[in-house]
Amino acid sequence: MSLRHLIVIIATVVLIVTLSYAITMRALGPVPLFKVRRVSEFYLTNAFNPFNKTISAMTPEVVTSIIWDYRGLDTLFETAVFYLAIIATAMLYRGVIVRRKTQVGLSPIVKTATKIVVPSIIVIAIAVALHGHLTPGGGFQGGSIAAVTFALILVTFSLYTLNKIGACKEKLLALRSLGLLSLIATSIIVFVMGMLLGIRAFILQNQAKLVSIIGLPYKMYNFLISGSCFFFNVSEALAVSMAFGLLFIFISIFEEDVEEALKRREEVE
Amino acid sequence: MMGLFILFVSCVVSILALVATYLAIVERDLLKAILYSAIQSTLFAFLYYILIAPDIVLVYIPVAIGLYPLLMVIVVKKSERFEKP
Amino acid sequence: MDPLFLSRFFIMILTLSIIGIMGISLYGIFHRPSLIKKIIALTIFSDAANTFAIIIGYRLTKGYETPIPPVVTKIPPSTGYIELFKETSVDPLPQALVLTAIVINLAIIAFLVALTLQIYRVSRTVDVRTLAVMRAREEEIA
Repeated sequence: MSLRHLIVIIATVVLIVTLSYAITMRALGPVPLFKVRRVSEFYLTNAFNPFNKTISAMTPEVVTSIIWDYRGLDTLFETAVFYLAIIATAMLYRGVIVRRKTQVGLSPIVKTATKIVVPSIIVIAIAVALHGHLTPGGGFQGGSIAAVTFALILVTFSLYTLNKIGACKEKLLALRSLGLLSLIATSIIVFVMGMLLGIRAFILQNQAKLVSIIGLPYKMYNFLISGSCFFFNVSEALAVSMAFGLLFIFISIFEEDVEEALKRREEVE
Repeated sequence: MMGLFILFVSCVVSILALVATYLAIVERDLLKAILYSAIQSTLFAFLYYILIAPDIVLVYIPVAIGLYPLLMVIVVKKSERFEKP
Repeated sequence: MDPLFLSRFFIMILTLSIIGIMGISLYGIFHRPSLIKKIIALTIFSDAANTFAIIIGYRLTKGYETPIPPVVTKIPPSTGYIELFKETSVDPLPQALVLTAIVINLAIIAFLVALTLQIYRVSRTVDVRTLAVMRAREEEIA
């Protein structure tokens, strides 16, 4: 046991003991609580409140109303961060061409089982994404569940099969950009309509407020759609699942193709 | 007393997760380390369910049990498998 | 036994184990020489931080019964139902913050994995000490 080893272990133990002692002695606030915070009381009372329609979001699911209506700006920036990571990964793989190769995949038993399971996973993902404003669920959840199917097809069949059924890199990137465009369109539609009609309106507005009398409807033929939350959920599910598919294709390109592209890059420089 | 029973079960689950992460960090064969980390993620998903956070469970199960081990196994397959001491 | 004392005791054990997980994964990030092991330890660390935020968001009701998840189930609700919902529901704010944090961590880990693959292709090793020696030799020559 060298001296460096010992110092690291002692420092870790001191960190653990000090932090947990501080939290148990209620230095960072009382734990566990009997009343929630005042901000959370406001969110819980006003997420679905037909008696006070000017500050309500008309969404039965409180977490969705916080993410897309009361704190919608945070979610917009987080989507931008995810987009930047995908673009940075695509930049690392510039100039790589996927050539056709023969690949066998796994045995026929696994292939038949995958053919039965993949449509059920896609149906569950769509159901979770569309019901995001009524039950726990939403855009990220549905998109992540749908991304598992890309991984399944990639592992049991081959990368070439994925290209053959129409999921090449360019098409996935185009679909993801379409999802992001519809996200931005949903966030500024009330503002644009207000500008055209001469009424005051805000960006990311969901329902009609005290100072602006224009807003999206929360009910359509007796179905509850909660204004902009529904459209946000659908566009986010599309964008997230396509992003994951793109990532898997990048990671699993054959090594010979990437080495060839690297050599070509070094010859140019 | 059901509110206290929830806290008791989450205590037990978090101690098991502590054991699993110690095994994951100390292990030298990287495939086994990925497996222990997936066990720890499963225990955490159960912990989120017990502590009544349904939205988080629906994100955590595809992301931390499905996608992270998949990415890691592809990287290990394309580079080295054993870690030098 | 006093239920308040029992609840504080359980919360203490929970906090101790979660911060213990944070400490062990920090040791793994600093002290293990393989890049892949560092990425595994980073995912464990961020998971522990998210779990800690959700533990803070739990609440106890007056008669020590189970709280309900933050979903309104009676449409249209009456004023009495909204009062009851406010008194027995779990805190929804930490859950929204943790959702954002999980997606951002995912983006970071995906980019780190692509970078690790590129490092292996260029220099044929993922050991940090060997990489430091190679880099020092390069700077000597140049």
